[in-house]
Amino acid sequence: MESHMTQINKSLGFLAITTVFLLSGCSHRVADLSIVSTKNIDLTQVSKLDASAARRFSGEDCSFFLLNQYPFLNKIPNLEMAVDKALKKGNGNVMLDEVTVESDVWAVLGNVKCIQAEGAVLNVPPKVYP
Amino acid sequence: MKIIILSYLILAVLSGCATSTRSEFTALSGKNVDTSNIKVTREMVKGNTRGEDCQNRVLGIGLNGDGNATLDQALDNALNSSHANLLLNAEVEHSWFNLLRPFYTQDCWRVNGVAHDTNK
Repeated sequence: MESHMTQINKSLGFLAITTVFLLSGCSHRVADLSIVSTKNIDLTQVSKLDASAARRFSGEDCSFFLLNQYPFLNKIPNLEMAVDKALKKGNGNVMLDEVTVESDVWAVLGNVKCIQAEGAVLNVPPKVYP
Repeated sequence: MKIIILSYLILAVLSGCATSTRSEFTALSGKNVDTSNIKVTREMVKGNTRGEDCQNRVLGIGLNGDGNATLDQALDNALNSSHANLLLNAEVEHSWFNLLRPFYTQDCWRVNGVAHDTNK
């Protein structure tokens, strides 16, 4: 009976360690930016915008890494995609005012790596070439 | 069968792998840019610049001090080398490399673009 209990305790301990290991994660800030854009904008028009009145939006791009190193379907988290998603959500083309970029890693039966961009999204008139 | 699966897992974990991702931006800055008065003129152009920030780790211990490689530092290095505060037509590359993980890993951010000093 006692050996049976010891066996159960061992199994529970192993399960707890495995769960903590598999579900662990970490996040770190990789940039604090003042202006970011992926679109063709007229920078001289940025001065006419009020960033303090703009709403903040965030975009995220994630991918799954098998055994911590092999990107599933060869997809890698891309900052440009994260910024584009935030701009699309905010229906704008430039991010201003303390734009933060964070990188996350979550271990769930492999690794999920994400990159997030968040900032005030504004809409600048597109650059017009004569 | 167990031996095959175990061998596959050991090989997969211990083998080396390099991955990188590239992003392109029309404007990028981590400096204090006066957005209330941006006028980009030819005089502000400081030419092409590049900067990088890398962290090499052996058994998880950083060889370049504590902390992770950041885009912030790579961008600062690029802007500081040209005494500029704004990067236009910027390209950002983030790459990872590992060999016999976790024996050696490398994490790098690289930035290049056309530097501008909007305070000029």
